[in-house]
Parts: sequence; structure tokens; C-alpha cells
Amino acid sequence: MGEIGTAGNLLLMTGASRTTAAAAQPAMERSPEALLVEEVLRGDRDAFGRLYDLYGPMVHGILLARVPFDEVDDLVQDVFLTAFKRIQTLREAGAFGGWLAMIARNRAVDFHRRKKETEELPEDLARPHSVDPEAAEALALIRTLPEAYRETLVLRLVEGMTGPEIAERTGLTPASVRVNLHRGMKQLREKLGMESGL
Amino acid sequence: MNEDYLWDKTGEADPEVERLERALSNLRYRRPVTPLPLPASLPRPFRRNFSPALAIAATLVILLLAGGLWFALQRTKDSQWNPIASGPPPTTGPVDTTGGSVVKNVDEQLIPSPTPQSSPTTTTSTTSPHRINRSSPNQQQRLALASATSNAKRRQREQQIRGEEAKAQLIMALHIASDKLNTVQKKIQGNQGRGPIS
Repeated sequence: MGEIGTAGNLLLMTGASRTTAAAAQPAMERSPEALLVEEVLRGDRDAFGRLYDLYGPMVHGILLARVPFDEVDDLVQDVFLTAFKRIQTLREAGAFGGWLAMIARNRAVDFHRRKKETEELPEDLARPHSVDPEAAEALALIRTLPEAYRETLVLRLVEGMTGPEIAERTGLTPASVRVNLHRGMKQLREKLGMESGL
Repeated sequence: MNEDYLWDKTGEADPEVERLERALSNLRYRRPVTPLPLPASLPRPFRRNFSPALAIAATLVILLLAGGLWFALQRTKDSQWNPIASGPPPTTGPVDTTGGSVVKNVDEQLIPSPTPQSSPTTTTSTTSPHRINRSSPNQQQRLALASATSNAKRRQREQQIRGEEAKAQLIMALHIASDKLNTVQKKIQGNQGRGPIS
């Protein structure tokens, strides 16, 4: 939330000289993300860089919940490049988060489809080698959960986002995020209990 | 389980959630050192304002063309059909076979109406007791009916032909209008597409 506020303030400070007093009032009512999107549409590349900073963790989390850890960084870049190329098709600037989340989910689906078309990788290759085994194990357990719970839990536990932040960035309702978090955590606890029992 | 901590990291920390957060923080998103390789050409602002204007203009053009065509057709039709329209209505009465001309109200000509209240246009002569039978009434009726039917069919055919012609003209006019609109739209798109679009 702090990042968003800072970006919004920066944007308002830099954009103040370019906007008239009449236009400034409705502009202040819009979200900082929407203003950044509008800046991008006006041709400001730096504004897209700020969106990259703001939404990087969300895209990373969505992909991490679906694809092998080693592939995530490349796919994050792919998702942002796709978003940059298609940003003209975004009808409502305020819906950027949900739109970007959908691109990320589609990219993950596309990754698995292409992988199937080429060749099936062995399971051990999909496990992150360069990370802590405990983290890899916890992530593997989270990935066994239903998709909605898995994504929300990764955003909360891995990316460190709070529930309201997850709702704001992904475009989901806070109630949905809350339910996903609690049900997902409950299932994860059960699985962790089973693991430790074994 | 502390639900507040899981939701927005407030309240007493949940030890299990904290342990997972610590373990999984190794997988957290880190912005790459290299900047995002954005395409050299920035996305151009998507201008949608021309679409409603174009749609309104197209509608007006089509309406004007259709109205003009309809008016022209009406004028042509009136000038061609005046004699028929102002001529005698189609007859259904018996035909005088001797002269070949249509005779209306045979009873009226031959025998005056018995009562002043009775309608002068009554043509049901077959039931009159005072009727003078010059030829078989059934035959006369059949001939009259055949003649009327053939007249009606001929008029219907003519109307159908003229209708087809009018329809063909209207379709041609719409085609021309559509072609012109396409040309205008292509020109607009051509002007927009001159800039590099990624």
C-alpha cells in the first residue's frame, strides 16, 4: 500500500504541471495505477517501469503458484512485455491489475501447453535447486491446493502481500480473498500435519 | 489460528504462518538488475473518439440515401400507376358476353329495385325472381370470375416485378454507401497506422 501511495504522490507531483486545475480534480479521484496506465498510453515508458515495480510481486506470485520456480523470472518478463504490447486494448485503466493477472494466468497455461507439446520434463527438474529445501517443500504442498487457494496463499506467504493488497492488485473482492486465504491455510495446515505425521 | 494476522498482519502473530513466511521468503520476487527490454516503439494512445462520430455519419448517410431512393421510387410509381390507380376498381360482377364489356349490376339495369331502402349496389342477381335470364347465369358468373382473377393476377405480377426492381435499386444504393464508408474507414485507419505500433 505504501508503494502505491508513493507512486501516486510522485505521479501527482510530476503531472501537476501538465494538468489544468479543472482536470486535476477528477484525476485525484482515480487510482494511482489508473493514472500510471494513462501515462503509459500517452507514451511514458517510465510510467510502465513504475507499474512493473508495483505489480511485479503479484505477477511473480501468480506464476509461482503454477509453474516451476526456475521459469518464473523469465515468464514475469514475458507477461509484462505482453501487457506493454497490448495495453491499448485495455478498456478501463482502473482494471489494469485484474487484466494483468489474467495475462499471467494465461501465460502459465500456455507454458504448460507448450511443455506438453515438446516433451515432458522430469519432476525433479521442476523443483527449485537453488532454494531452501524447506521452502521448496512448502511450495510443493501449496501447489497441491485448489488453484484459487494456491494463488492467494502464495501472494500472502511468499510475496508478503496483505489480504487487502491482494484484493486491490488482482481485482478480486476482499471477501473472496479472505475466504481463499482462510480455507487455503486450513487445508495447508492439514497437509503440513500429515507431512509431519509421516 | 489468528485470522487477523493472516488477513492483514495485524494482531498477534500466528507462529505457523510466521514460520511459513520465513521459509518461503527465499522465493520472493526480486526485481532483476537488468531493466525490462521494452520495445523501442511505444504503444500509441488508442483513440476511440472517431468511432461514434463515424457511426453517426454512416447512419446519416444511409438514412439520406434510403430516404432519397424511397422518394424517387414513390414518384416513379405514382407517375406510372396513376391510370390504374384512378381507373375503375376491379369488377366482380357478371360480364356481358355479347359485347364483351363488363356490366355492373345487371338487376338494376333490367328491373328497378322493389323497395327504396334496398341497397342500389346489390349484385346478387341470381336470387331475384324478376330477373330475365338471357344466358346461363352460372356461366356468366364463371366468366366474370375468371376475368377478374386474371386481372388481379396480372396486376399482382406487375407489382411484384416493380417491387423486385425497387429492391435491387435499394440494395445497390446500400452497397455503394457501404463501399464509401469502407473507404473512409480505411483512410482513417491508414492515418492512424502510420506511426510505429508494436
